[in-house]
Amino acid sequence: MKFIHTADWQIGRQYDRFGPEDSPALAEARINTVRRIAELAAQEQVDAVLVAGDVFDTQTLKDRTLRQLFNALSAYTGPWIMIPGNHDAALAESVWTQAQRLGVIADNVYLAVTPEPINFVDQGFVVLPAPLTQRHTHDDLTQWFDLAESAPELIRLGIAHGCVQGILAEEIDSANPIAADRAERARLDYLALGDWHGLKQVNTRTWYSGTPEQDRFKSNNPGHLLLVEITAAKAEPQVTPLNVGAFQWHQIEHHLAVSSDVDTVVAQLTSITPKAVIAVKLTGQVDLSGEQTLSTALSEAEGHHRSVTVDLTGLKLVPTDDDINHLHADGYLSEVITELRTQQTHDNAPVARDALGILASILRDRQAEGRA
Amino acid sequence: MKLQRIKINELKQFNHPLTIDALQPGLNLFCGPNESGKSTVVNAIRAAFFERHRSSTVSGLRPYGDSSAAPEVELTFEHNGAQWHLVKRFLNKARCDIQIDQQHFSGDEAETLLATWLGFELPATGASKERHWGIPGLLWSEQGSGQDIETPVEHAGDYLKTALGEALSGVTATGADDVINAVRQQRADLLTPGGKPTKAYKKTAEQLESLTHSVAALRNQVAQYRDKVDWLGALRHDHQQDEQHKPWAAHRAELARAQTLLTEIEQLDAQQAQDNTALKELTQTQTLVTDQLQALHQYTADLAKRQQAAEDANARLEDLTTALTDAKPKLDQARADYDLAADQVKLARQQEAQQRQRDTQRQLKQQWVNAEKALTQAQQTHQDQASKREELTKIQINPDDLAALRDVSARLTEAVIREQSIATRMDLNLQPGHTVSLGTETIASTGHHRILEPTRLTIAGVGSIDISPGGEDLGELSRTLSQLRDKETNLLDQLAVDSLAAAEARGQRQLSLMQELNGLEKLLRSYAPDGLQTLEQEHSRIQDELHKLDQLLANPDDTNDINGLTVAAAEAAQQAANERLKTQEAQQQHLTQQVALAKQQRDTTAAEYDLLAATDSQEERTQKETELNAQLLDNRARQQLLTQAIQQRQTRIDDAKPSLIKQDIQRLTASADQSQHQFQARKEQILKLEAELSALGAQGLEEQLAEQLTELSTTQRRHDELAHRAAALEHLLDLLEQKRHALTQKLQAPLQKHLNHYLSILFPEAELTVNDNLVPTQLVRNGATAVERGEFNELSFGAREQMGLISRLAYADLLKEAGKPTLIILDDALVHSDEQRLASMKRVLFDASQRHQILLFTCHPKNWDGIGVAARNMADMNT
Repeated sequence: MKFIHTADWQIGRQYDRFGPEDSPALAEARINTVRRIAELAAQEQVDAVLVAGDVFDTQTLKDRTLRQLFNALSAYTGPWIMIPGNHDAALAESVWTQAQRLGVIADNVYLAVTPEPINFVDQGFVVLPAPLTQRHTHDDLTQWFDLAESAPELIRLGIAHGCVQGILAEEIDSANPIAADRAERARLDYLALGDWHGLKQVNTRTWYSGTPEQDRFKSNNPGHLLLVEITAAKAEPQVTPLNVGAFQWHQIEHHLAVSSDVDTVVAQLTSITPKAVIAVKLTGQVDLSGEQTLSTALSEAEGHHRSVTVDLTGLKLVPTDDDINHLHADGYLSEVITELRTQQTHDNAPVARDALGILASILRDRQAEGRA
Repeated sequence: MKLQRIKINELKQFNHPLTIDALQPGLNLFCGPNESGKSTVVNAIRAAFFERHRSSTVSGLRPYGDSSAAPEVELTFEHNGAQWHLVKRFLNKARCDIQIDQQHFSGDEAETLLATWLGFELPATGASKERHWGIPGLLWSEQGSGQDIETPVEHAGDYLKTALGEALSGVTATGADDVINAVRQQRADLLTPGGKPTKAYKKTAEQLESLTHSVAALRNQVAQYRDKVDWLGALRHDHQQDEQHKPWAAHRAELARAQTLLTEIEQLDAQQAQDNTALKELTQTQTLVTDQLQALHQYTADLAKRQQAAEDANARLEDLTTALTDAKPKLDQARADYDLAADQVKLARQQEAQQRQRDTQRQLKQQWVNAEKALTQAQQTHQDQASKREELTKIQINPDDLAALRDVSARLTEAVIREQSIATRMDLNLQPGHTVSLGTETIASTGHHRILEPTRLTIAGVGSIDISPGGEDLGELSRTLSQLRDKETNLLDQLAVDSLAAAEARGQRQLSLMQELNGLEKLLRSYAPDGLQTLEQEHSRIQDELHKLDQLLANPDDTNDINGLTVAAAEAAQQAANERLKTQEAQQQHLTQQVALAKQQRDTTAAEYDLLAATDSQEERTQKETELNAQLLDNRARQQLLTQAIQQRQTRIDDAKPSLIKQDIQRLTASADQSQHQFQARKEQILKLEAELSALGAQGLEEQLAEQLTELSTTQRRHDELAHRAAALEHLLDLLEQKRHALTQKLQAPLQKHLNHYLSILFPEAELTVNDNLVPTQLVRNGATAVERGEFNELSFGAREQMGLISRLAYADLLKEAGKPTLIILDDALVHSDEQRLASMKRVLFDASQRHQILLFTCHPKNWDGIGVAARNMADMNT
């Protein structure tokens, strides 16, 4: 059999670090990615799509968003097997009951809200789900897999959302634990996991697919889905990661010391393939011409990419004597520039830097007017 | 800069060319009366520099009524060894030409050159205004505005600072004011002058606040939503449990058991109540029987008591009757004793009365003797009185008449004496035998005669002699005499006397009679104080009384001898007898009463006994008592049985604890009801919550929240950016202004030096301070006692004018040091200065003229006497 393993769609996620233009676009990109997954599933003629939790980012979404998501599934008419994760846990009232009331869940979507096997005898597999019915639990919800009976000829697939014990860093959701050897103990052919947003293999039969659309600046290899092929029960699964993400997220952090550092940053910026989501954080110091080069490069990048956010709070503006000469600042104006340059080594550095920037820009404008 | 020649043509009152030459490099004094053209010269110089030659707004320069004139000014001056020649013509064939040594400039270029060189601004269009005038505006004071220094300094400020700054080896910055203005403008886009956010910054802050609020509200809603979801989960869980276990069923079963138990107890209670009633009735019957027995016993006792009482009453009656009979003789004796005592008292009283009458008789007799005597004397006296009164009546004379008679007699006597003294005396010594007749009288003897009236003396044989007495009032006197005599006669008649002496004697007798009568009256009153009549009556009364008593005592009663018993002793004996009698009578009465009462008592008790003895017979009573005693015993046995039964049943009831069972029933009913009610309520709650949550869920709360958070963080970033920018601008502006202030202070120092130089001529050790804009602000002087500080604007007009001039000269000195051209024009300066100050100001001006060319125009040439140069009269030039 062949199926797609995906997870952590986080539909409805908003990005408050981006502006009012980028944030909705990035939110919408997630639904588009789901649409591409459906298309891919149809194209690959897979037997099922397993979505291992956190389909939704929150419990209360607008009806419109719910409709958009379920519409995005339409390209693939085979079974979609979904479990609720910690973000969309099957509580007494949840995003799922909302969707059910709306009647948007198609018949080919199997939402597992109880820990019971779902048999697909015709297709030759059985799915053991471990849905979250609380936001957090400290029990291993996959434990029941061990004792679950299934026809021996059926391929046993587990689907769960949580944190594999002893594999991931401690700070990542230690709630919702999953035993690292669950696949083996429960005689699973494959355990599809969600919660970790990067692509990660736990063992030959246990994988995190990661989120298909990157949503944070963490280079843990997100933006994939897993195409899994298992020829028969007990056979080793063939797992192929496929890149489906629309935007790559890049983070540039650099300490500027000499003027050539600016060139490095500019080169790094220009090397990124459009369209990406970029965060630039610069520290150190830069002279006036370097600053001009930088701001030109940054505004060009804004034109090419989905989003460019810049943090220069740690960057000092240090005009060189040439800069000052170039600005034709004489008399006490030149004294002011010197003083602002010195002040940046003190407490009030950002204010002094901004003040210097403003003064330089006024002087530059005056120069331009003079030339005009 | 030194002006050498001024030529003016077709300008205001100068229709013909006016040339002022031979101008001195120092002080030049021009004088002339009003409207002699002083100000026109000044205006011409100003126009030559300030007004554009092409300007059409300078038609005021034309001579009056000459609309075709072409006002022209031609100036020749020297600066730094170069020779300048400026020609400017307005309105008609307008032009501007400058020749500097061999160089020539014309038109706009020439004007711009002048403006830059002198430091002023050319108007873009129209007439040149004060704000354009720059440095010349400061150095050239117009008529009547020498005291105003602030405005010209302000307009000259930038030029001054630039010019002076250059001298201060480049501490000033090119266009720094523009930069400051630009910073200020950018700051104004974010902050109010007071440093509060404004415009976009303020709006962002407001947005931020409102977003923060709405996010908080949404968060709250989401939290509530989550709580409700959890609650719904819990409710559903409980609901399922209840559906399975039905907790109210157990309560209901227990309730049924308790109710059965309670029914049993209630039956026992009913029996108990019946038995209790029976017992109560029995007790009542028992009481009744006992009461009847007691009544029977009481009756027997009463009968015996009454018999005894009847007997007692009878015995008492007999005793009393005997006592009454015994008392009778005692009473009779007492009565006899009393009667005897009463007779004795009567006799004693009679004797006592007779004794008193004899005493009275004796007294009366004495009184009668006295009265008899008094009466006799009184009657004698009364007779004397009557005879005296009779005499008095006879001789009575009126004392007034007597007095009048006395008076008339006295006057008559006097008149006669006077008549005798004044009458003509005639002494006749007739020889015997001879007679004469006087009047009718014949006189034959010797003697004298008094002739009182014309009298004829006839001497027989001789004839007669008529004698007329000579005294003038003799006639009058004679009349008075006769009147008085008449009067006397009348009075004597009236008094019935013949002479005054008789009248006097009668008067005397009358007086003595009245005295005698008075004495007799007193005597009579001593005999009969109340009058004679009263005395007579008293006398006869005594006589009568005496008479009566004599009769009474003549036949005395034949008196029983009572052996000298006094009335008091007799009365005491009677009193004692009376007491004894009263006691006996009371005794008698008491006994009689007692007997009557005893009789009544005896009758009553006998009747009562008869009544009681008649009702019941002894046999009947005995039978009744036996019956009652039997009934009493029977009842007592029944009572015992019933009591026992009741006690046993009560123990059963108490052991069952009926109050607890009732509470159990109450409790179990409530528990069952409550848990069923809770079940129902929970079911409704679940339905309600489901509806509520589905409605809330449809709002997409968390998605809304996420959107708002995005907006919030965007706004927050924008706000932070603006805040940083505002802080940066504030900081930059601060820094720039600090620097500029420092620079200004550097510029102030030399200005201060020059100011103090001139000021010291006026006021030793005074100082004129200047502000950042180089405007004089305060004059500090050493006063008589303390340092005086005067704000420039509060100084007197004259002082301000002087300070204004000093300041102008100081600026000129600074400019000169900076190599700038200086020309000072003073139109009618210092007109408000007193003589002393003016003298000092002359020294100041003379001192300044060593460095600068000064054109001074005045209409008071005498004021400027002693300035060191001769005044040039405008009138001389204007021809």
